[in-house]
Amino acid sequence: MKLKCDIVFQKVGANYVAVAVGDDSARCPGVIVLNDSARDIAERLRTEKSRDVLIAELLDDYDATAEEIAPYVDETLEYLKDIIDE
Amino acid sequence: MNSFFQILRTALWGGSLPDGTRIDAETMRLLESHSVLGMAADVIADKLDDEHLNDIYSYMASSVRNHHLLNGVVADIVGRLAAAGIKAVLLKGQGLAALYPLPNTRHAGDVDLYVGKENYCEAMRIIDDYCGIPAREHRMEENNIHGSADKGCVHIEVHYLAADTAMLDIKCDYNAFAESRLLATADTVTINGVSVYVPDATFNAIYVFEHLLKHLRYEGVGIRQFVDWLLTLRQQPDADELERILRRFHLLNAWQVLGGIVVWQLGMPKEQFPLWNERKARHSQGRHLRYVIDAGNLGRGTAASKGYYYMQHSFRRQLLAARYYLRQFVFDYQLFPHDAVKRMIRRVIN
Repeated sequence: MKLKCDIVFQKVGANYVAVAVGDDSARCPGVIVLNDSARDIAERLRTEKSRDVLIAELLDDYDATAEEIAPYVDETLEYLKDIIDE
Repeated sequence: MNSFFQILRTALWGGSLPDGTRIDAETMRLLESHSVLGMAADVIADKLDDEHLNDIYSYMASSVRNHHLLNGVVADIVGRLAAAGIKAVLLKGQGLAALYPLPNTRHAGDVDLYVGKENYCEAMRIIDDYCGIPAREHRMEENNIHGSADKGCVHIEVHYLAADTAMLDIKCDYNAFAESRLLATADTVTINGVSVYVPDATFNAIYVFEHLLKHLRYEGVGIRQFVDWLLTLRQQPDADELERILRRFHLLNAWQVLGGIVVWQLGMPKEQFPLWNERKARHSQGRHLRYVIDAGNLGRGTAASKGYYYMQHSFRRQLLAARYYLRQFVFDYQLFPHDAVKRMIRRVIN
């Protein structure tokens, strides 16, 4: 899976606004607000990768276990479903 | 008004908002009318209720999209002009946005490119072709300084002259000077991977200031233009050269007066403001600041009296020149009395 549009993340306070730009922005209309870790997950999906690879990457970078990370990843992927090609 | 400037100082210089900073309807109105809501968004977001926060998110999404569109057009045009051997210099707009701590937060406008007189017609032909505009004739008109074209919703102005010296009422050789500086510049910013020429730091500071002054005199100036000016000053222009040029074009007094707003309202340390003059800067804290705040960017503020727009109105009504100059003198005299008298004397002599 990967982001299906060119997305710009703009910091606004503690959160980020994810905005689709460019020719295919019509495929990802609307505005999505993300916290820092959700933005990190979305950023990693600029390149194609599976859920398992994504979790493995996060395990390398965060001080947490797979059991802690996996539910958060699933929740975030559900939240990002409108801007992700499965 | 204190909270308004507290927010801008925090956005410009970092840190967190002081306790007691009020983000009420009046503060939001000022942020909007002075076109600085974007740069304030990051600072105020965590203090807003859900309704206002959603408005800010929508505003920022729109701003990001606008910047993306503008940057795409700048990169496309500059690339096409360069391929034709034409040097284009990006004025104001996206070149200044690059100086902002968060570039997408500068209020997005249009694209201003300077190509000079020699290349103007060929540049317009190339830009018309890019915009899908059928072939048309281009002329450099005496009472204008640029041609224009639209690419979708992006407005493009192609300058053969840098500034309207008649409006600014400074020596007309300013444009000859500007041409020599702009066509010689080697300073660049990178936009969408394309290297784009921008004015050198010293000339940019003067050019942005002169533009600010023109707005102040004719239609109302927003604090955003003071922020633009401040950010050009952070690029460390050459103070000696600045002084020479400002004296040459009779702009030094206004520079030193309005510097008070940059220092006391926007928080630039005095020692970093080139040619700081405390005595002159104190003048800015009364009438000047009130005019700026009330009129807003392009006169968007609602509290301004009709008097602020008398010059614009006089244009519209095509008043007699003598009456116009007299009223202009009266307005200038309130802000910059010495400059106004000198200008009137120069006008009579000429």
